[in-house]
Amino acid sequence: MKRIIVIALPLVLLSARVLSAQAPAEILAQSDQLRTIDNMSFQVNLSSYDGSQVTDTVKLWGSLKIGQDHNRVLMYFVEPASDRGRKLLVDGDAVYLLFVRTTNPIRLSPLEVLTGQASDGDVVRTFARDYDIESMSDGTQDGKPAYHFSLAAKESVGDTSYKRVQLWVEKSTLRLLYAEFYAASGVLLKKAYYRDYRQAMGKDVPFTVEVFAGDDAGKRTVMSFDKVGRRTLPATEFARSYLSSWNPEPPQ
Amino acid sequence: MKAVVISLALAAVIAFPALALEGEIDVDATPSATLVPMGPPGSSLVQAEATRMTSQLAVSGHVSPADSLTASGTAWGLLDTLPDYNPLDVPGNRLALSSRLLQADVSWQIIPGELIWDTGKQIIHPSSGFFRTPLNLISRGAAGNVPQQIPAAAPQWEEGWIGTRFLWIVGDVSFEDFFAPRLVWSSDVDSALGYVTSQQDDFLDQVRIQAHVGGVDLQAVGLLSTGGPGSPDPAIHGQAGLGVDTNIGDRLTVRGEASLADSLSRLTVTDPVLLTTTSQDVPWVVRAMAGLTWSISTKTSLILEYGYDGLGFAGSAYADAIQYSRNRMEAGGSAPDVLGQFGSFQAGQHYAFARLARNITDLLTAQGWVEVNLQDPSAMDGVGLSVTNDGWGLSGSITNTWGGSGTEAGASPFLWQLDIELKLFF
Repeated sequence: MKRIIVIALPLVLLSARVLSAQAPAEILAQSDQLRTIDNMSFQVNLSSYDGSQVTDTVKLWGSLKIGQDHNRVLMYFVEPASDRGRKLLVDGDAVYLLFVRTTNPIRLSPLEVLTGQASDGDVVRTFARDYDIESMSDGTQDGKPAYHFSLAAKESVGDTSYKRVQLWVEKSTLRLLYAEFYAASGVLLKKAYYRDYRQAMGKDVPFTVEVFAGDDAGKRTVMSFDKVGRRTLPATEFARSYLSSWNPEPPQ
Repeated sequence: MKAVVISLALAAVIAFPALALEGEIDVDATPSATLVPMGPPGSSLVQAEATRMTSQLAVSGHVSPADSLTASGTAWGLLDTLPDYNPLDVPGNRLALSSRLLQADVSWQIIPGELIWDTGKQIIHPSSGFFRTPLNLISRGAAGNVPQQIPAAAPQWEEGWIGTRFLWIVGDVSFEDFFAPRLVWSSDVDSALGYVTSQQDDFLDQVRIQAHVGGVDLQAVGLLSTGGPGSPDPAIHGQAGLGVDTNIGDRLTVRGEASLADSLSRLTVTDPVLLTTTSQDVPWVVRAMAGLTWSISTKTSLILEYGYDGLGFAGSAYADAIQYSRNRMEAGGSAPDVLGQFGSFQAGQHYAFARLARNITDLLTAQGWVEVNLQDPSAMDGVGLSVTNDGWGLSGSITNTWGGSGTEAGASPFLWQLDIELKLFF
């Protein structure tokens, strides 16, 4: 059962206006903070398309823990039946996958994909802590005035899935609207549109993220959150050694 | 008796409607070719083909009667047309049924997320290796000895060990202890109980410490085992191992493991011409593995691994094992199998493995792999294609061996194998 607490939108808008005079780093951090729920539990559907044809669908349950140095996400594959029971832990730059009826999670590279164009880190992604701001300028996105950030991965951060990121953040609400993700070589890996913002647990959350392949606009993956809530799990549950003991539950 | 056991298992499932159930049916057709003598021992070898058909059903369920309590289990059954997988020795009863409770345990989170106590039947697999797993100090191999499409060390279906485990997690460090009692019973009892669980010859106690330090995963494993009073091997034996795995950049994961056993036994050749063997204890057996997985792109990955096994043969002992196996094959295979005593393609000490896999589409995956005996060198390779949809999967592969008559591949009767597998998920 979806439990969404609605917070008055004017409060969000007011705080955004105050931020407009602040430093780029603070704006980016606030944008992250406004849409990120600590101890978030969620159910998300990922549908991959090739043109208009659906090529793959995955349903996941997950839990997010915001950490001081990095985020940790636990995910459980609900559908399809062929993947049901798999468990995934994203612990900063370390990604662990536990197959059904096994007890030792295998370590994956951050480049491994969940489905289609979406990687494990795309399900819940923040930027301020992991990237340095090279520049911030005024721009527009979908006709809306926006801050245009050019970001480069921090040397100290291990998660180097995307070395450079271009972000467009709506000025009036600090909603993340659009992002482009680049490899170290400068190749555009993927583009993401953040849509369908709704109030959940006091945050302004994009319930739909549409990810396009950088080299083929016909290939895209749509991530749709259909349940978002809060469940506080002990930090020790976001550990490799706990993954086989984790008993996933649908989001509250 | 078989029917009673299966009926009881099904009744248990039906009796707990709150169980969350999932399952899988695998139907496998495996035509293969082997070398067999054309006539009496000593006659020339000819190629013989046989097709093995296996149908496996596995049902898993879990239920949480309380917040901190979870019960889970997996029952498995196999219908097999050629249990010995050897056209030289086709059994009279060609249709064999076997079953096991692979895993069944109750987990109590004494302190949620920190202190967990599991009791029941559990699969214990500390290793991160793909084709060699030095840290899997206790392992039972594939249930039913069903053929696999790729030589992954961890089989798809494996039976666990009855025992109890404590897991304590403190920050980025965890401590784990698993104890399994010795469980032996008469052959009469085993004729029925063997459809539920296998016997356990030794008392086992395995300690495992894991730590996540600066992005690197470290683990140490120690095992003590003893047959105890009344056992053919009542002595206490020890094994210990260390493992590490980490990422390098965003595309590479690397791993390494090494283990040491105080003493392990093997069958060794005393005379390769007379086909005589003896059991030999090898002191201080070292096993090691180093490997990497390289994500070449988001769709393509490459696994490379090297494996060392001190229990394998080297030097003149290896040459004797190869000659013995060649003579054994020509003699009709009646002498003990020295070459395959550890499994397929594992008689030497040094092996390398490579596997390239590519997701052609979201549903279609192609892969090719090769395993090389670095002492010959001879090789076993395979290519495969698999389609996996929501509720089903279809895959096909062909496995081949390469090597002259003086190599491990050449001394094995195995020539090639096709494998067509249909999986249904529910």
